[in-house]
Amino acid sequence: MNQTFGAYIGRRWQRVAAAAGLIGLAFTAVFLFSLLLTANPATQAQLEVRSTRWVKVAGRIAVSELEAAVPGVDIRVIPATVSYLRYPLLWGRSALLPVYGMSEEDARHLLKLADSTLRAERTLPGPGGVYVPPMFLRSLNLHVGSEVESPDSLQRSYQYRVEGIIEGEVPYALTSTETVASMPAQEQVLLVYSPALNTAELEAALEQAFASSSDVRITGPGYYGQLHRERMREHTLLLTVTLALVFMGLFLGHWIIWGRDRSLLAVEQVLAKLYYHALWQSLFRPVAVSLSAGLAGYGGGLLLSLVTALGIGHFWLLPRGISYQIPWPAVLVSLILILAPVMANLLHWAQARKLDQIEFLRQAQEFKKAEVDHEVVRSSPHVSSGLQG
Amino acid sequence: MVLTTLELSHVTFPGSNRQYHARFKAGQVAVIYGETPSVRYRALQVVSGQLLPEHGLVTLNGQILNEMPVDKRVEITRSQYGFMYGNDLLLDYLTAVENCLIPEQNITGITIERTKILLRSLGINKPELLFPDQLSSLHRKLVSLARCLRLRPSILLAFEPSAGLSDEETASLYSTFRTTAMDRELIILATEAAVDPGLTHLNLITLGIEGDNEQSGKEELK
Repeated sequence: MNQTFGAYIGRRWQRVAAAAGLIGLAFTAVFLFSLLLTANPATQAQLEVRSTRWVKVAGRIAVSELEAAVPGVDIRVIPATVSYLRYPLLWGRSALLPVYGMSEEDARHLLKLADSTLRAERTLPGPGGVYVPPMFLRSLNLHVGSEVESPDSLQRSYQYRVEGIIEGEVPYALTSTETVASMPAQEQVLLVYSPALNTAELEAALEQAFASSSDVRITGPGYYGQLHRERMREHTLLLTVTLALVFMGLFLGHWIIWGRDRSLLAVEQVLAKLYYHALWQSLFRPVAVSLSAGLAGYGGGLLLSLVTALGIGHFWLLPRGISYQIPWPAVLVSLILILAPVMANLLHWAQARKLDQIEFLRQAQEFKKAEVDHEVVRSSPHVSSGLQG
Repeated sequence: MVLTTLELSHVTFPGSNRQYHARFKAGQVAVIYGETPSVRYRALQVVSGQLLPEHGLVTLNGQILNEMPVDKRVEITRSQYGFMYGNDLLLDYLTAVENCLIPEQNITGITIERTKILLRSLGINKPELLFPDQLSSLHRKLVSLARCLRLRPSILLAFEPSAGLSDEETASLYSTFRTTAMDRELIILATEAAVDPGLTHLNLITLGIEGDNEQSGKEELK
């Protein structure tokens, strides 16, 4: 009986295709939902890549105090004044892009540290001018020369002009100390890095050195990592609820699709007991068929999802300065959707067992036949008159 | 070669309180009729050794089934008996040939050809191309019969085989039973609600089961 599932798939391919299609669509929906849900955290993580290059130290502290706090550690410091530009995300949310105001020498230092390429005439823009990363231009549909009026958190507007582009892996904005002074919510910070330590180690050393000080705030990869995990917690919860709902919907859909096989399952059960003396032999065909449909649907859905994701990313997200990442954890967890048709079939199989066997064996099987198309019969010259009308 | 014999000695079937005595030989077709379908089904189970009778002995080729251990009875049931049902038990997505091959563990080209020959001999043309919904009710029963015969049973038990057949088709089916029983030297025991008068010319052996009543004793077979 293990050989019958191939014949079933070959001859009932429409039913199997419908089952696979349902899974493919469900998987695609979950995939794209997860993709769009993680677009904001992905963009924020991209904006926070700077933490891999330097640690921000804010508060009442001088450079000499900083160097004295971590003796034996070779640290380099870039003093700056930082404000933030509002960076629009999806679903009405926004992130913050740091704009550093500093001297020309410090700006050259920072550009080298971040491996950035500056596309502008001067190291620093003129009064009221800002250099921004390309993704920021896309997010607000700006270009070099654009004048921007932006509200701060108190709805007071401030203006700036885009005068150049900072290209590179690390997104940040640059301006002069005079311009940043006119921006809201600025603070004095020290951008700290070490040739000997990576930023995670440096962050840990600084946190240890200033553990008892409430005036100093250390912001590095550990901080942003924790922030990212909290943002993803919301995604995880929503994904779990979505998967549960999709699974129930899939189960119901497959319950309907495979419900037509209930009498077939009863026949197979009797044949398994009769010729193989083991009821479980009748499980192979329905489980194999539903697993095949599940895997085909999953594979097809994955292909469709990847193509759609690339399209959405290329034509919609990236042009808006929104980063995205393929939600591989959702892809893995969604494997559970393959179980929906299997469970539906198993439940049908269990219910087929409850038939009154004696009555079932006694009854003649009803096979559906195609209904006669009377129009064809009437109009066909080959049909004898006795069959017409 | 020893021909199969099946003997019922003072057997009381579950659901009946009479004793029955019968002897069947290879080449014979018998019909057990009367009472309810469940009583008739249990009668077949007693005859095949799956159930023990309330009284009496069931003897197959001189061996008393009642006195055998369970595993021995199971072995005999599986090797000597074939089962056919009113519900054809055909899978609608398999052709007639493929349905017949379900009991086969190793399907070879020779197996397939033999199956085609068997089905053609029963009157089914091109069985490798036809699906159950393309066969008549009678032909579906014959496919079911052919599937039972693949395992070469000594005794074929048929539970309500005429279910869904017209009188003419029933007569044709039992005629095939007679021919098959004689050609293959097997015993065919069928159950029906009643014996159709159209079958009298086939000289079938009949055994009527009666349910609860105060009379008891032997009933000789005619």
